[in-house]
Formats: sequence, C-alpha cells, structure tokens
Amino acid sequence: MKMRLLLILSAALLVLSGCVAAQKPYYYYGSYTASQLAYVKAPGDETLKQKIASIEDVIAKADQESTSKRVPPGVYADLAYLMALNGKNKEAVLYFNKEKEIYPESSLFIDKIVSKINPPEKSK
Amino acid sequence: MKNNTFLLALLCLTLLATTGCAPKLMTKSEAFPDMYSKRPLTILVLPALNNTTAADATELFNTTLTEAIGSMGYYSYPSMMIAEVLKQEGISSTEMLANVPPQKFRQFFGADAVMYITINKWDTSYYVIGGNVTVGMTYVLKSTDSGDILWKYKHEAVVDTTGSNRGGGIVGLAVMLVETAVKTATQDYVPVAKIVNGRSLTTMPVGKYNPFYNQDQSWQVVLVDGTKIDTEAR
Repeated sequence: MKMRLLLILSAALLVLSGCVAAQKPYYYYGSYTASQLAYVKAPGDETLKQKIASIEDVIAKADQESTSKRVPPGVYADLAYLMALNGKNKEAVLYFNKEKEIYPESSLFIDKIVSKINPPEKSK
Repeated sequence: MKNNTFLLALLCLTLLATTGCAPKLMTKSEAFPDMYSKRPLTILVLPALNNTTAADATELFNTTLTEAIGSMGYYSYPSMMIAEVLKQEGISSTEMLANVPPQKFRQFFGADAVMYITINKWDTSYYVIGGNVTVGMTYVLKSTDSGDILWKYKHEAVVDTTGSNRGGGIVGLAVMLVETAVKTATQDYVPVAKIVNGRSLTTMPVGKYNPFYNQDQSWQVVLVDGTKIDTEAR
C-alpha cells in the first residue's frame, strides 16, 4: 500500500517537474531589468552592487534556467562596461570577448569599445 | 440547445466582422513585408525621445528595452553603452539623433536596423473621484541599409487607479477617495510601459534567435490603427 502511494507520488512529481521544465523562458533574465531600474532611480554603491549581482545571476543560470542556454544579448557587454568604469580593464576585455563569442554580430561595436580601453600601441 | 447557442454566437461574430465593428487586424507579413525581406539581426535601440513633461521618463523607460528587444530574437546593444558611444561620436541629445541618417548607425555600431522610440504619454491623471496612469509610445524601426521603415507601431496603455467603494455610504466613499489618491500617487509607470512594449512588440516579426523565427508571417496580431503613424513628423 505504502509502496504504491510512493510510486504514484514519484510519478506525479516527475510529470509535474516536466511541466515546470516546459515553462522555461528562452532567455533567463532574472532581476536584470529590475536592478537596472533600481540603479537608475537611485544611483549609488548599493544599487550598483545589486546590478552586478543580478548580471552574475543571469550568467550563472543561463544554462539551467533557459531553453536557449545562452546569456542574453548585451548582458556580458553590460558587465564588461561596468568593469571598465571601475578600472578593471582586464575583466572588462574578458567579458567583452565573451559577448563577441556568443554574438559575433556584435564584433564591430565591441572592438570599438575595447580599443578605447586598450588602445593599440602606436609605436609599432 | 447548446448547438443553437453556438450557432447564434458564430452568427453574431460574423455580423460584427462584416459590419466592421470588430477591431481591424492584419497579419505580420501584410503589415510589415519589408521586415521579412530585410531580415535585420542587430537592432540598435536609440534612447527614447521624450515628448512628455516627465523628465525621468526616458531614463526609466530605457531600462525595459534590453529585455524587450532581446526576447524578440534580435541582438540588442546594451543601452548604457549606446549613450557612451554616441557621446564619443559627438551626438549628445535625442533631438540630434533624429537628424543622423540611419546609415551612420551601421557605421558606428554595425547595426542592421535602428529603432526610434518616442514617449508620447507618461502621465498621471487624478481627479479626486478617480485616477489613472497613461503611458504611450511610438516605435519606428528603420533599415540602416536603405533607410526604409521596416516596422512601426503606436500604442497607449491606461491603468485605472480608482479606488473601490466597498462599504458604501459616506465612509465607503471616504475610503475610496483616499485609496484613489494613494493608488494614483504610487502607481509605478514602468510596469505600464512594459505593457505598452509587450503589446507593441508582439506585432513585430521575430528575429533569428526567437523560436518562432520565420513562422509568424500569418499571425493576425497587428491592429491596423496601431500602424497609422505620421512618420514625416519624425
């Protein structure tokens, strides 16, 4: 009797989890837009931290929580830009390159920004 | 009995459709054929032009765009960086943006298409016994190749913030008035803006990254009235 109940419950859970999985969005955005809005309304260290955290969350969950399994367009670039504003140029270039990797159509734009961060050496 | 009701409903619908009382709808490919022939992949959404008295409308509204355009299956540039690059190229105001030929944006950004959004309404209306918040936008998407308009739509959403008179009598009325005042004062514009984005972008043919790419030509979701925009005024 208990075994049967357990089996039925497990089957139900499997079916339900299948239903939930089918509801995954194409891109996972998390609180990306909300944190951007919060930052715009009250620019400061705290809202900036939240913004960065929400972007990192989008990047971390892209594979598991979206059907595309990709970080949405512009998100890596957004993070890269924030790094550049804070003088973290190496991280900035790293994230800009990630953006180009996933979305090669962004190359023209990304290369322009990167060249401003790391100007090509003129002595050569 | 059931069959008769169904037939009656069908007859009424047909009558409505033929007498033109039903809102006129077009399919995506009827409304925007150039979108299907040009197939832009990268869309540059410029900072919105603010035609309202709300000074912060553009700033607040811009935050909704990355997700809105990305979800439609296009590559969208992050809004913070767009403003930065434009400044570097010597363009500092949205008024100046309207005068830049679309082809320049292909040069600066590598964008296939550029979207001009105008905020027409970002208003609160409060008249003591009732209130509402209205947000309205006009969207125009132009090819950076030919400069032709690929997609355009105008939409407005109104959220009623009138309180409800639950108790009845004087007390009920007083409560309602206070509720109306509070609801109207605290209604956030951004969720209303998202409604406008949602309804408008639904009419746009989806891009390469959207699961319905190249399958939405016959979706009859475009309100004809929404496409009647005086584009010369831009």
